[in-house]
Amino acid sequence: MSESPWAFLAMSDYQAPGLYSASAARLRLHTLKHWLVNQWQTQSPAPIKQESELRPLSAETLQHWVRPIDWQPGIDALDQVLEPWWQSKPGSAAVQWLVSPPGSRLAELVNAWAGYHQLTLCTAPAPEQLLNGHDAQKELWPDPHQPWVILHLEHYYLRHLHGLALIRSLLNRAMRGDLGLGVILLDSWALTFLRQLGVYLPDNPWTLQPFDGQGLARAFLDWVAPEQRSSWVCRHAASGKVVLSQAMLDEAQISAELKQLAVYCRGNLGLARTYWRARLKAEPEPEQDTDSEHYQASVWLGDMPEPVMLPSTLAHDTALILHVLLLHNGLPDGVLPELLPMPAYGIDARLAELAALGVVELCDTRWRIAEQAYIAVREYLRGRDFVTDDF
Amino acid sequence: MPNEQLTRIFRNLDTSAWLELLLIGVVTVAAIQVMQVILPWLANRLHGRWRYALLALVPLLRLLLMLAGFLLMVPRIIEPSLQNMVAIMGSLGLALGFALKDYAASLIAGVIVVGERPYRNGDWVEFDGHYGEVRHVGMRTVQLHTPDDSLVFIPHLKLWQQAIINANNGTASLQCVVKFYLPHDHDARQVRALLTDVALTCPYLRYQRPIAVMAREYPWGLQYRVKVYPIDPRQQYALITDLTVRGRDALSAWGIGHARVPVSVSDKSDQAE
Repeated sequence: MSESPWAFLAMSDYQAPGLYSASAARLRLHTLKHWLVNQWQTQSPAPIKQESELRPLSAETLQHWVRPIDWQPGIDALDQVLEPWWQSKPGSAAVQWLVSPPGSRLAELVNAWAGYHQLTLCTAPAPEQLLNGHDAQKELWPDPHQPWVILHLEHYYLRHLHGLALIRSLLNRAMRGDLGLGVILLDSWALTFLRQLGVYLPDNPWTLQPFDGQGLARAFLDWVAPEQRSSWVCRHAASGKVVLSQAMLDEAQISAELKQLAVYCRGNLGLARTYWRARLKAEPEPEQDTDSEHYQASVWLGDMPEPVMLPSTLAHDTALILHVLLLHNGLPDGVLPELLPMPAYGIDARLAELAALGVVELCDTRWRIAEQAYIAVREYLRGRDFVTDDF
Repeated sequence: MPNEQLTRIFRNLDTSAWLELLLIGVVTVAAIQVMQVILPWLANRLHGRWRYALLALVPLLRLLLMLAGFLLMVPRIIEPSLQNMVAIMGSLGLALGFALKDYAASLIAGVIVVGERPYRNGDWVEFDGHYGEVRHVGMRTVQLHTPDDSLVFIPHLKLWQQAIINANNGTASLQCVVKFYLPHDHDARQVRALLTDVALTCPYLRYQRPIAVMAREYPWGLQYRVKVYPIDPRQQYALITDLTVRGRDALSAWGIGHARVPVSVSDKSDQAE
């Protein structure tokens, strides 16, 4: 169990854990089986803990039990794959590519990596600059003699007639080596779109390896405060079985709950963290002093939140909004009418409807797909023949 | 003798036999009606190939249900011997052949449509001068829903004599062509690249299929044809409109106007007539 779950691999080697890598027929069979098992389980043993008896963890407790991600193992893993390129410098490709599915938090990792190596971060142009055909690149580009990092290449274009010039020019210059050494991180949906543009794109960018049940178990336990880790036990509310503990991890026992979570999240660590945080519950007794050395931490894992449902009555245009949001990893409020053949008031109405369903959210004036809705939205679009990402 | 023969062919139908026949008829018709409502309802909640597969099942299932009903009814009406069957079918064939020739031909063509599938529910076809989506493949007619929201009923009989242009042939892949007519004085390469980008930035575009921009020289200018595929065939008009509007705007922004076709005096006189 000493092997770190933090590792980078070529995108073609990425294989989402469990059934998502299997055929669609097997996936549907699994869904049916899962549904039948759930039906059966709801009729059999009574849950150990009723969901209604439990309460979500306080922000303070969450700070102890799901601490912010420590990026150092990720930085080391990224160093490991970029080291040969970094050392060889001229002669090899000037740009290294990383790709990440939505919600994976890889941008935070690369940001931390850039900070660790004191690399220059490039600033994305404003949407108005892209639409006005303004050559923002010269103004925004850092010193070409310094290695640079782009964290969100998906913010360097708009799917608009005037929104493609900059990305084409940027990629051509970067690939020719005119911009010096750099690392580009882009969203997996953006990669799907950019492939249509006829610009040079790498066949096989790097990506963070998928987190399976074991990887999640290690990551989740790493997020527990070190002084409590050995005594920390997470039990399943319905069955009472231990889902995660240090002892279990030491014995290489991975609970079915974590395996299922890994499958559901398609190996995406960021999404799994979101669900993990939402599912952790505690009994309503007064909380003990979590800083105490003798603190016996016990936490309950609730059921998966009800999946976000996209009703079939949604207008056809709604799918266009969801798709364009994914292709750009979110869009600033006000830009959508430029990219869609719909009036602004119609888009606002659809967004309000989607926000009420928990499908989209407005984060700092930027509309994006809510993390807990991503899997549902992806399936919704895939079922409607929209082009999807490779993850 | 003919009376005796008839007596031998047909069974004596008592009340219970009549009730059975009625029950079979009602159940068959009800099953067909329910199936014809449920399958399209379900199909319209699906997308892509599943929608087309389910819609295409409707006429086949209807034929099977009718056949089942027929096979259940026949032994209750006649003695099911080979001789009897030949006699009944022969008489029925003669009657249909003379009295209801066209109707029978349409029915037979309807059966062939189920097997040969030149058009299925959900297909976009041009048939007998009409273009639209096949909404219902009936026993005698096919119903086309045109873009003008009209329902056109075309007898399957036309299948014997006319060509059928099927734009998507049971799949979700349907090519749309958007035409632009430009005068000679422009940079054709730039226009080609521009129109490709117009297509690339269309939200209705099916990215899995290629974009083709074709140009053709005419005495009055150039005709450009942008060939693209919508995500869903039902979006073809939305896609064409979007491409036309944005393409026109982009060309205007570049100072490229429309081609003007000179009208000859003889043409004018033709129009006047």
